[in-house]
Amino acid sequence: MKAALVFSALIGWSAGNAMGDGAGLSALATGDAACTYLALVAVYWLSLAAARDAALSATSIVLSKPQPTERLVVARFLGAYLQVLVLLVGLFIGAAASRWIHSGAVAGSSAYLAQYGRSAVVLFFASSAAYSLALMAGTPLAGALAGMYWIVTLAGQEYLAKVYYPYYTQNLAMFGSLGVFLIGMAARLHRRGRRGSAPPQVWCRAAWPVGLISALILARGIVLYGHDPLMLESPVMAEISRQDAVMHKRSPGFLLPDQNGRLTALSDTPGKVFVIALVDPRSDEGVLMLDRLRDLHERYGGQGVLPVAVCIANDEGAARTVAHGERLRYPVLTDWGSHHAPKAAEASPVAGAYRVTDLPYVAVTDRRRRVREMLEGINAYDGPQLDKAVSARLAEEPK
Amino acid sequence: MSPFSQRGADKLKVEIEGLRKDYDGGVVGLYETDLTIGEGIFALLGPNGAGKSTLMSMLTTLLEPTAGSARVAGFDIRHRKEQVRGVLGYLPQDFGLYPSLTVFETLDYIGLLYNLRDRAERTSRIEEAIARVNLGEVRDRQIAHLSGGMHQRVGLAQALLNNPKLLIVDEPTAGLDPEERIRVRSMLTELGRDRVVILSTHLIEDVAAIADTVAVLHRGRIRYVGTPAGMRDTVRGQVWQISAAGDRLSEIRGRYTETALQRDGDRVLVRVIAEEAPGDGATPVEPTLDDAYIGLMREGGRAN
Repeated sequence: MKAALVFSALIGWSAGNAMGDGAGLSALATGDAACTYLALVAVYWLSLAAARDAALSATSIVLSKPQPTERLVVARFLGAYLQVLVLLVGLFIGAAASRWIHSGAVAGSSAYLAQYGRSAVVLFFASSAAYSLALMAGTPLAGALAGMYWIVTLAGQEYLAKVYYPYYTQNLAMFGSLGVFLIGMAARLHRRGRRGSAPPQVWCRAAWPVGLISALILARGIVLYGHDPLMLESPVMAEISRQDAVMHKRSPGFLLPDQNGRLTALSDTPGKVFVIALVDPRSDEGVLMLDRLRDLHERYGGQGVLPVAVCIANDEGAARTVAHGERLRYPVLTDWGSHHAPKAAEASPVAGAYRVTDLPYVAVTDRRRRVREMLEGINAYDGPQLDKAVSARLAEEPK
Repeated sequence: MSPFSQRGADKLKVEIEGLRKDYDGGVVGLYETDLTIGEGIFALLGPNGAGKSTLMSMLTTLLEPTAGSARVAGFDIRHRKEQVRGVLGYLPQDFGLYPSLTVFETLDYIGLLYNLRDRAERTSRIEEAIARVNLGEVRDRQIAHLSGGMHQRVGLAQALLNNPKLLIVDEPTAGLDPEERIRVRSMLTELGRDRVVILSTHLIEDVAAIADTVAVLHRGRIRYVGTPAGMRDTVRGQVWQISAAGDRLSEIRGRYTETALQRDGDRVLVRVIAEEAPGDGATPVEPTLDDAYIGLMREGGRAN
């Protein structure tokens, strides 16, 4: 356990040293590391926990005691899962320490809390899947199926729909429910003959159907009200993608949630000079771009310049984490139509509408929302170029 | 009064009727068995594979019987499993414990499994159990660092935590050195004074030392139930001792059931079981439990 804790802290140390003025990207990268590496550790750990009594020949002693089977199953699971959560604490402490040592401050550290919560749910699902499979099959090798699922999702991002990914924030409730279902099933079915004529406890009877029904309802919602060309396309997103960003023409519009969950459109704030940036919030360039936008907002916000960042990320919680972590006050929108694709322009309807070929991307509009400048890649977050583009608009239309 | 004392409490009874266990592949672990086990130490004696552990596993609710029924303190082992587990303490034959936990932590965990939720009461029970099995000096030592005898005593302590009316111990002296074996037997004798103890063993010395009643099992069937003295009576008048050598020795050993051999100068003293004197020079001797046990095994072999 001590070695695993040190290992976790080292992963956190490595992931936590990220770009940005705040802890946003550091928190996001740490959450991703937890969902990738620590999830595999959890699979291993919980598979062994399920088989520990048998491996130690302690089964006879434990099962000859009057404790109900379902309580034994759940208590053993919670004990091992709690150990995984301790490793997760180690990971985030390592990340925060790394960030603090390298940057001298950990501003926006609340982002770590949000990512800890996300990771805890993901690890709950990984743990419950590994534990239940290993317990019901009677071998820790069965738990490895959960690990294989993880590897397949990591390797198959261009082929699998977003709904299959436990570590996307929008899927957390569904996979959390699925975890409850799996643990409920294990508690209900494992050594059910041991109960004799006594019925299972009420919670044991209720957990698996509640978990399963919740997971199915949530999965239906994700598919029906989401956007994923590999599953089901949203008519709203299809409409957005049919627009076209053309110089001197009105910029494509969109209606997307900001970092506080409020639906935001460009038409909500008429008469502004918009600096519309499409960014990948997981990349260093993306965070640099967001920091540039904050500078612009601070310097030119009073003159009617409004930066609007659209985050192209499959994880719908990424924009919120980075925005809060970097303490951004301008709208940072989540493009919930983002999906797995090899090219940026194909990865989201908004990116398609703006004909993006490289991220980050910036479109600067005039006060009538006509596109007047388009910058991509390294040019997009080049300070002087951005300044020049915005100054030109302000010179043309001071108010 | 010690929490482990059952004096004055209602005496428990184990009633077994037609209990049978079939394993996959047509192997019968235990044929229809009828037994009533009352107070004192009840020993199940038999060779490996005789069905002792099968019977014990069914009584401890770890194994589902194929047919028949059994009641422990009036609770049916098929339907009232939790209640059965509540009144018994069980020490399995080959058991493991969590190596990184100390003796105290192990017993604390087992106490929780017994639903001893009150910490003060649990601690008191643990301390009593530790004192009873004489493990006070190693209470804070990790299980991984205990000797085989100490490990066995921790096993006994965990079986005592719920102050069981019925204590079931499977081969508790197997693999122990002679000193530790005597120590475990003494503990069982003391425990058997105020509760029912079912002891499974393949060692006749265990039966001779501590059992009030013995049941001999062979190939899944009970061959004898009664007192150890009564067991000796099953071969009374049939045990002979002969001094022989050479071909005569070979002939005797081939013809009769031999129960012991002892070198006597150039010759050998042979104990055999025979209905009648096996030749000149054979003298009748007082039967031992070994003689009776081998005699019962021989009969069992014939019956099968």
